[in-house]
Parts: sequence; C-alpha cells; structure tokens
Amino acid sequence: MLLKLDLNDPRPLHEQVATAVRRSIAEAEVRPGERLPPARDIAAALGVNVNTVLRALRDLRDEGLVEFRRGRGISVVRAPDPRAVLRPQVRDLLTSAKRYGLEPRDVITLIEESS
Amino acid sequence: MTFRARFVLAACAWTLLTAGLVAALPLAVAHRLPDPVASHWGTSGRPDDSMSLTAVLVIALVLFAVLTTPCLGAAIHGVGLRRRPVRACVVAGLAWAGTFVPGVMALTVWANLDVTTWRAARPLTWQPFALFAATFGVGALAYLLGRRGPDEPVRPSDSRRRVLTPKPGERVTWVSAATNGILLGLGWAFLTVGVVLALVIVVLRPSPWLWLAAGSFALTGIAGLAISTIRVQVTEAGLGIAFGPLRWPVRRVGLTELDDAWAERRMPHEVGGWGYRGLPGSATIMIRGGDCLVIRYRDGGTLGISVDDAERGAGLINGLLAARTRTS
Repeated sequence: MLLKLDLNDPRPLHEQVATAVRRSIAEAEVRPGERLPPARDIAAALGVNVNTVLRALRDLRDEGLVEFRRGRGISVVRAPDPRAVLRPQVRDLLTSAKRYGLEPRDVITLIEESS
Repeated sequence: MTFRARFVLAACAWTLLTAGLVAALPLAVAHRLPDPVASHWGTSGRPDDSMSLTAVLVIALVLFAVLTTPCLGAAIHGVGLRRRPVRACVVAGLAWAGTFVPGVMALTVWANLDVTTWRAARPLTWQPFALFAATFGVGALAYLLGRRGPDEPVRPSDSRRRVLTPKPGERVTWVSAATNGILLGLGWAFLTVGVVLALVIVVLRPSPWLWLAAGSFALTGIAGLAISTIRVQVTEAGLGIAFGPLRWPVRRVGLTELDDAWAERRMPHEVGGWGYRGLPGSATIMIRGGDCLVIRYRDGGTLGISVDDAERGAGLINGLLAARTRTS
C-alpha cells in the first residue's frame, strides 16, 4: 500500500495518515474485503507512533471504511465517497485562493470557467 | 539444443554415472568383503565401528542424493544458470559430490577387501585427508570452470516493472506484508510444545536428555515463526524487511545499493521451499507462493521477497532511484 504524505500539510498527523490511507482505498490499492497492513507496520513505515496510526484508523472506522476484527486485523469495508477524498484537495485550493484574496464564491466561478 | 538443455543433460549424466559408481564399487566385490564391514575409523586409525554392507550402501546413496538434488534442482530451474556465481556453485557442488562420495566408498571397500572380519580391516590414517584435499581440489577447479561464460542480469519476461515517482513536496512510503497462516500456526504449536516440555522437565525432573527435545521443539518453532510473516517497506532511506511476528530482526538495504526492482510470480517449488532460499546473489525470501518483489543490487545480484502488492513497491523503488539520479 502506498502512503502519500504532504510535507506542507498543517493538519494534525493522524488526520494526514487517515487521508493517506483513505486515498489508498479510494484508488483501489486495497479493495473491500482485503486487509490493511497491521497498524504497527504502517507506523514503522511512516516513522510515526503506532497510536497516531490507530487514531487515524479509528477515524476511518467511524466513517465506515474499515472494520477492526479481533485476530483478523483491519479490513476494508467499502471504498470511500469520492467527496471525502476530494475534500482535502478542495481545502488546499481554498487556502491558496484565500492567499490571493479570492473568496470561495470566486473559486466556484473559476471552476465553472475551467471545466 | 539450448545451453540449459545441454547443461541439465550433462549434470544428470554425471550424477547417474557417479551414483552408479557408488553402488557398483561394493557390489562388484561383495564376495570378498566381510559382513558386517568396518564403517568407522577412530583417531588411532583402527576401525572402531561396523555396519552391514546394505546399510553402508544406502547411507552413501542417501548422502549422494542430498548433496546433488539441490544442484540438479537449480540446473533444471534454469534461471540461475545464467548467473555466474550460481552456475559456478552448481558445477562445483556436482563435481565435489560426484568425486567425494565414490571416493569414500572406494576407501571403505579397499580397507575391507579380503579381510575375514571388520576388526581386521586396514587402518585409515592419511587417506581420508588426502581424499578431502583431492575432492575439494576438483570442486575448486569445477568452480573456476563454471565461472566461465556470461553473467546475465536476469529479469523474466513475465515480470511487471513500473515507475512511481513522488511529486515534489510529497513523502511517499510503501508498506506491505505477507503472512503464511500454516507456518504461523505450526511455529506457535512447536514453540508451545517446547515450552510445555521445559516446564515438565523443571517440575518432574525426568531424564536430562529431554532438554534436547524441548530445545529442538522451541528452536524449530522460533525458526518457523521467523519465516511465517514479514513486513516490507520502501522509504526514501531504502528497503526494510522485518521478519516474524515481532518484526525483528530487520534487514535494511540502502537505496544506494539498489539498481532496479520489479514484481514477478514465484512459487515455493520453484525456489526450493519456504524461508531464505538460494544463494546470496539469487536468493528468495519465500513466505508464501505468488507475488514477489524482486530487487537487483548494483553488483548484479538479485533478491526476491514474497509480499503482497509487490508491483507498487517495485514502482516506488524505481521512482526513488530515478529521482536520486536526477538530483545527483
């Protein structure tokens, strides 16, 4: 499973980890029914604390994407809503827009113009 | 006929010929040998143990089979023959086994020839050492002979290679695992039996020899567990392979040591079983059959690691390698 972390992401680490895992599931790297690598393996690969990863995975469980099964690890239940995957990117876009003094309304116009 | 076919044919012919020699030597002169025959000589050079001729023959043939089967297996599997170190080891192994085992048999027959009882067999002093030296010499010569010829980097046609380059400002890692449930279960079972035996020994104090059994069970269990599950990760630092349920020990391979990576299918029967298989330079860490991540070192050697999702892992290694060449 590929885990992509944005080095400039200001959000708390567990949210970034959740985003990375969510993207992997959305891009069908791990399909529904398949198992995720154990939390401690993800933690070791990312160089973060295992509790951070567990917190991220609990967030994903609350979203209904994964389920925790005793002795069977953590498996994917369903692919996420595309909106949930795009949301962080939209947030990034809005942050950049704000830097240039553009309101969300202006961004919507911009999107409509470019699509 | 291809090189591989000729090689396999020659290897099989040599093996059959020398195996025939091992069997023919004692059978040809069976009527001139005592029964049982002297089969072991002490440090003084006098015979100190005996065996029936049949037992000697069976042991020699089994030893011969144990020594030659891996070499023949590697030759028939074929991929390794294109790699110089593997080919040299196969040739050396066959040459050594094919001279050493008949040599031991010849010495045994000579020592026992025309004596009335095994205790009267001829003493062996310098002869075994001479045999060792001569057969190792033959093996070394064969090794040099096997080194001749090309050393091709191997990448089978059905391999899958891709490149996943991280974007700037993005940190990409790949992590995956492979687990063999049967090995995991067996490992725990053996370890449990070992521990229970140890407790029984401590409490009941039966024969101290039971410690040997307890130790063997526990060690087998630990060895089984070590190769029952694996974690593989690719980061900017390189490749990390962590063994066993404790994810320890960890083997790290720096990115600077790597040259290429790809994914291919490998099965236990192709590489000779489970665990660390093959010779350094063309080895496979086999947890379960199927998808394997294969890395090639800068010195040309390869290492296969059976792990899920290997194609993406290989892609990231290639991407990181490409990014590294661009920046340096």
